[in-house]
Amino acid sequence: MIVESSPFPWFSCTRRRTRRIVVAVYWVIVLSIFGLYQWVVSLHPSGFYGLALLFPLQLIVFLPAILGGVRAGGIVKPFGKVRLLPMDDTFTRLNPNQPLMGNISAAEMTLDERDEWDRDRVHYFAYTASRWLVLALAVVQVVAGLAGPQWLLRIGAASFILIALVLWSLPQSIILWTEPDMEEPQ
Amino acid sequence: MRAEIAIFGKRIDMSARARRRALVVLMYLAFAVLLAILWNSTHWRATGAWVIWAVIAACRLFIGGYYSSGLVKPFNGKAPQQLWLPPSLQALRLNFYRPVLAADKEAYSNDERELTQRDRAHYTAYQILAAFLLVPMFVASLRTSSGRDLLDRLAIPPAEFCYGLTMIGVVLFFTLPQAILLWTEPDMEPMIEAK
Repeated sequence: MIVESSPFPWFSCTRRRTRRIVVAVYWVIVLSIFGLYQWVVSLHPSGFYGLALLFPLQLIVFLPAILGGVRAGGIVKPFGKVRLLPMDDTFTRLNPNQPLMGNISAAEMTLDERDEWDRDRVHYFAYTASRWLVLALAVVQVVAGLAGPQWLLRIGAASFILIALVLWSLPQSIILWTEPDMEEPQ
Repeated sequence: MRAEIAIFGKRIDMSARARRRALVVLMYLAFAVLLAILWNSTHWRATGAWVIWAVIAACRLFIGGYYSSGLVKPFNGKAPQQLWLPPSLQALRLNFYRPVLAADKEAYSNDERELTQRDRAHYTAYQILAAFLLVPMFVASLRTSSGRDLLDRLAIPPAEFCYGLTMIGVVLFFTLPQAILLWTEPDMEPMIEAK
């Protein structure tokens, strides 16, 4: 599930310890941004739907790409089929080991049968965890709905950002955390 | 997956895919009607919890997945809890009581093929829900770019928009993998013997 050639030229992701550090750092950064955002919103509640939302939105869209999975170019192979331009497709068929994105070849980005099995199993666990998170946040919102609309807005928007962060990053994090050490590429 | 469901003791044959698809469509229609009624009555404020109870009832009675009853076997493969107390009179009257026998293991444990199907259904559901999250993102980004947007035109307060989407999210999170399995599984051998 993990690309053999690291997308980051300054370190290799073949060792599980390195990958676990990457995951830990990723979640610390993401949760720090989320906490900082909540703090800013609490200071300026009127500007909540203004420019304050633009920054975390951009981060949420682009951060999971570092881990991979959702798109090509990260540490984890893309979960779906990589769609290539027609010219790239011909190029890839002629020379599948040629680097296509950074130093990663098209052959490395394709999932084999075992990878697909792993991907589906990891998504099952991630789905189960996300389901409980969504239920917990829904219960919090039900209580907030009784408390008042100002609480509902604050908790509702924060819930969506949290769910988006978890949903778009959790399967990749589980894969990076659990996959054993790989052999160093020659 | 089971080929029949038992509601109040009455066994209903669901071996045909068309029937299972009809059940999925009816279930989501019922949820849509429920959400619309609750929106009209209290804007989901005091009645949001009803959606959660409705989801639990749908899983327990019809689609299964998280309970030992319903069409889809429990995803975790655990045997249903057996109480060592005698069943209540109400449970017997409503035909809710179903004792679990050692020979019933097939009714709740998943084989290798079913586990693969379960994982694939969860993967598909996960992709759909991850894409569903783009809706609030899109609406929020519209709101950042202009003062007046879709929500203002529809006269929906942002708080209630978020709340409504969370309720839809709960419905989808608890029913989508089962719906995918029910929709895609081909016709099965009927369990009810023809008279």
